[in-house]
Amino acid sequence: MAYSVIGNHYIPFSDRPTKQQLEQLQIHKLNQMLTFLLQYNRFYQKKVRGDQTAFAVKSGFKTVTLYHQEGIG
Amino acid sequence: MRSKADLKRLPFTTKKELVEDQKQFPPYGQNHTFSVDKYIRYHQTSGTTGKPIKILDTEESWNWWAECWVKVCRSAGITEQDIVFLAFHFGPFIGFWAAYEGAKKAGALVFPGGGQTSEQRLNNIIENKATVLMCTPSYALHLAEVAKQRNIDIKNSSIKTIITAGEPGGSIPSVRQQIESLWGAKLFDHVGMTEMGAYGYSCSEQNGLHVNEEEFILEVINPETGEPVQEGERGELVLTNLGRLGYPLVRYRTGDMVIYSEKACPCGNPYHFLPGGIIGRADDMVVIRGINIFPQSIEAIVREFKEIDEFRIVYYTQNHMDQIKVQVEGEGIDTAQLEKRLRERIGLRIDVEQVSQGTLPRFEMKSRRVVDQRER
Repeated sequence: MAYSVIGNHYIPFSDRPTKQQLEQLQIHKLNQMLTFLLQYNRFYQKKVRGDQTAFAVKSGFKTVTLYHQEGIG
Repeated sequence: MRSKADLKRLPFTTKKELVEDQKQFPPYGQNHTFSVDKYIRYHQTSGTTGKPIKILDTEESWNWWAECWVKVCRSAGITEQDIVFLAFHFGPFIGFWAAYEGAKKAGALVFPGGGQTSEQRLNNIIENKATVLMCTPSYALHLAEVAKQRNIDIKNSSIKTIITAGEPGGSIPSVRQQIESLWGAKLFDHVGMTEMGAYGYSCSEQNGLHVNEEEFILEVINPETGEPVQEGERGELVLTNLGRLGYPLVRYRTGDMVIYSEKACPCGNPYHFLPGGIIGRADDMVVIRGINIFPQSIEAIVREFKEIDEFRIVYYTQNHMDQIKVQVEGEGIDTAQLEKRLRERIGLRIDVEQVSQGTLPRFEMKSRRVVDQRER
């Protein structure tokens, strides 16, 4: 059986994530990261909050369902 | 952020900003999220394009690096049965430090090949029956050259897999084929940046690079307009790392030029595929007589000539005109044929100059094969 390497595990190709699932995961991680950075990272606090394109990061964002329990850390 | 499209609302981050930040807030700048006592690793960029940037990693961020490298190892088929030899000096450049951690995490036996001559490294590879070699593509070629001089048979050695990093050569077909032929091994390429992370790797198809989309968000933009490029177009790679809270980068303009494609790789890996890998650096491109020149395009042609041991690209001025020549080293090189191929494929007359054996420098880490002598 052919395998793909996802999340450091060999996973059958039939279980591979879709593009949409990958994007969900990315957005989940990005929101977590941005929330944290805007609290603690001075470089991005200045860069993002001081920028005209500043955005509001909402707290309490939804946690997406991960596509493969084992596969994603 | 509800979708990747929302990412566009954030500003880009540039290397210039990171350099300025460190200059303004020495020694480490303000992009280190935590206080220094929370960090456990020091690295610096190679300084190829200016003053090196100093970067620290926390325990968590360093583990993230290692996990990213585990994927590179898995894609190359490395298991606990392997003995991985790292031909690397283990200085402050992050390169193979992270590879060392990743290969260890993948269960392999790792052999740090720092502080050794090329001959000592070759002997250690043979004596310890190493199965995987990790080094820059330039150094894989140099080791092969030394092996030839010392009559060491590397083609029939225990090395079955080579993972290259630090330079783009591993994704240039002629360079890859030359290394594979000299070593009798299969080559996998890896791409990463000290400031960003270990973000991509090649697969069994060997015709490009996959970006690890679990840990990085990829965009490809027109470097002039900042707008996304279309299918099949060349653009600058912009990345956001998602797991390095100690040194995060959001929409970082890498300077790496790639071809954007939505097409899936036949290997089945769902991560975004960059056909041909990194095709050049935005800051490496020069315009000679109206033609955009990437050193990698020249290297791809030069490496088709197996007789060439080493080469160098020289930009210079003659009669107030920018010119380009390629200096080559090796026995029995058909310089006329090389000139012809360069003219046909680059679209420019490029002189080829044969120089004596041992004239041109060799490199263990990032090679510097371009000399710019143009009058400004």
